[in-house]
Amino acid sequence: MARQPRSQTKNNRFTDWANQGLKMAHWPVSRVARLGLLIGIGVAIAALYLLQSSEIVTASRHVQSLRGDLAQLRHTNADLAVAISKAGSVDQLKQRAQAMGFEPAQAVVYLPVHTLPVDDAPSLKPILETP
Amino acid sequence: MTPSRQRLAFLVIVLALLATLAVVQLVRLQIVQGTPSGSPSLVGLAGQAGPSMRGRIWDRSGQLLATDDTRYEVLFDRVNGDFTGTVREVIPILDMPPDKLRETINVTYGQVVITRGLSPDMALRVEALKIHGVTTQAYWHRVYPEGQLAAHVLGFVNAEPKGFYGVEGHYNAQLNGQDAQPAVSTTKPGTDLILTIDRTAQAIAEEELARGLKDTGAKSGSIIVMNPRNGELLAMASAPSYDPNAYADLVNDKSDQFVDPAVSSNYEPGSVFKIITLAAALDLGTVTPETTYLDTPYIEVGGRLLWNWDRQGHGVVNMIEMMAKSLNVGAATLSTRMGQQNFYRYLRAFGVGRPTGIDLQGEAAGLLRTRDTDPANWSEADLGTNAFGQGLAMTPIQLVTAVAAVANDGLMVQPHVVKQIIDGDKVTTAQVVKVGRPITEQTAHTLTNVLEQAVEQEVKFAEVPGYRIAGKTGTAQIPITGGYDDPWTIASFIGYGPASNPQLIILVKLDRPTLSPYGSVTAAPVFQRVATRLFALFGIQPDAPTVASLR
Repeated sequence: MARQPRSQTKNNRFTDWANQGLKMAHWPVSRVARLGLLIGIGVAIAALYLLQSSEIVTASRHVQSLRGDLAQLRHTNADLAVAISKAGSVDQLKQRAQAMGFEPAQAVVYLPVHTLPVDDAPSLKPILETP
Repeated sequence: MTPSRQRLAFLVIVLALLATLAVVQLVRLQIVQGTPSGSPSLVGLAGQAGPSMRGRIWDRSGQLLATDDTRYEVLFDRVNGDFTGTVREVIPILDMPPDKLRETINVTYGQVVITRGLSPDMALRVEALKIHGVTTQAYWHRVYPEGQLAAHVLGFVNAEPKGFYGVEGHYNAQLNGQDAQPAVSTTKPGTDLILTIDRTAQAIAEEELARGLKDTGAKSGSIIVMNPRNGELLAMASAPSYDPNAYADLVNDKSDQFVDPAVSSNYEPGSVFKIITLAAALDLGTVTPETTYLDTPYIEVGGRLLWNWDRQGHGVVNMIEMMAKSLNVGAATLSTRMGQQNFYRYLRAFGVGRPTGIDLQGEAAGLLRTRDTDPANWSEADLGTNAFGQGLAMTPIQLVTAVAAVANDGLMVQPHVVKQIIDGDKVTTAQVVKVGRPITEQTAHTLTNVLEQAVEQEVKFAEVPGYRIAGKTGTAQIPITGGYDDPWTIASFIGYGPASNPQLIILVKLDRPTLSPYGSVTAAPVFQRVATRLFALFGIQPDAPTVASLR
């Protein structure tokens, strides 16, 4: 009688061990079907759980990414605001005006307009809208 | 294959599929959707913790005066980092001395900051090196786009970040936002502030102050421009100034350039204080503008001789002439006639010796000795000297606040520099805070008329064509231990207009001018130039336009 390979022997032992309960039980077909259904439901639930948790992780990563984008945009906006403000600063405007040939006025004559109501200056009025 | 093996195979396949699915998801999440590369890391700002952006500061017309921009710091992880590679690769980019870099990163554990203050471009260059253990991290950095403009009003912010001086110091808690905490992953930006300061008015004030210092040889000075109706400060310039972007260069400087003398430095106001003395005398009914007295070269009060500035007697003069000629004898005559109780009651009502409560850090209280509060140091002679602004101390903002009460029909309001506080959707607008009514409306109008005539008679340099200006010059000696620092003076002029409907009050103060010691010669012309430009800037109508005024 030919001797079986060692690995095949191990496999048979494991299969025998795994099937022992099923063999001994001598389950009817209906019971096997119910068991299969239960396993199927379990697998479905596990798959759903896995998908759900992965969706949550995906969404979390997306939120994190958006926060990063938001932070990046805030920084970019702030840097642009600084650049714009520097470009429009009093010193910069003076330099640009002088470069264009303008010079400070030496004598200014202001002409009063009688018909204008004497009131607070426009820039002294309350700010209605925030910048 | 037996049925049992088939079942086993089925189970194994199912489990293998599930395991494969899990592995695929892991690969997708960790690798495919991993941390994006290509830009400097924003760890600490996008993630779970990190500082928030500090609130911005705007002028009244929406010009940005202070905000944050992005800077980067370079970090080195000693445990996992490539020491040699870092030293070799980073030095050319950061322009650091090799020894300093080696010393910085030569630690046995943890993460160290190699350098800070890098621009985004520089940070990208460092990131591109891909040196093991070297990372960059963004942080907010305070920047003042206008440079030196309104430096004393704004103050500055250190690396912590913590505000010092000015608005930055006073509103530090509000300006600092809410940093991200482990439990709260998002940051809350700081509160934004809109100032009452007008950028253009501020630039005009600073420009004219610089010109005034140059023309008169004064070492330092201040100009304050306020709306007397509501206490809004439109400009507040002090020189010498500094650039808050480069505050660190001056940290070890002992010249106190950070301190705003307009709110933090006491001085003897000198003759401009006669406005308050006459206000008290008029309100009490001690005198009227037409009341006369015999002006002599000096008057004795409490056993001390108090002289006129010119050591001359001017004969019989009324209150208008007394103010126009700025006669110390006349002022001392008023205070002694009123008596110390009445005189000091009015001084307290005008806020002398008490902080105004302005929303700037480091306001000084001034100094007022009375027989009640400091009997050991007060003497009868103080009653005389105090009448013309000696023997007491005020800050420039205190003086402006007190005289503004005269311009505002006798009602004194608290000065302030913040107009609106914007916290998200919530906007809080500063309300006018009425401090008190030291004099009646009638007294205020009478005094305005006196001050207007005094300017017309003696301070031609302060006149603005088309506008009636009420004001007073001041030439104050500078007290030092044991006496006064002769021949130096503090020359000043305080005035408001248009007198029929005062909308601006302006104080010009020049310290130690060399051109002339007198405020009428040095400070008054500066006032004239500032007032002329600001009336035009704000579109303030003249009192009584005439053909003559146009010339």
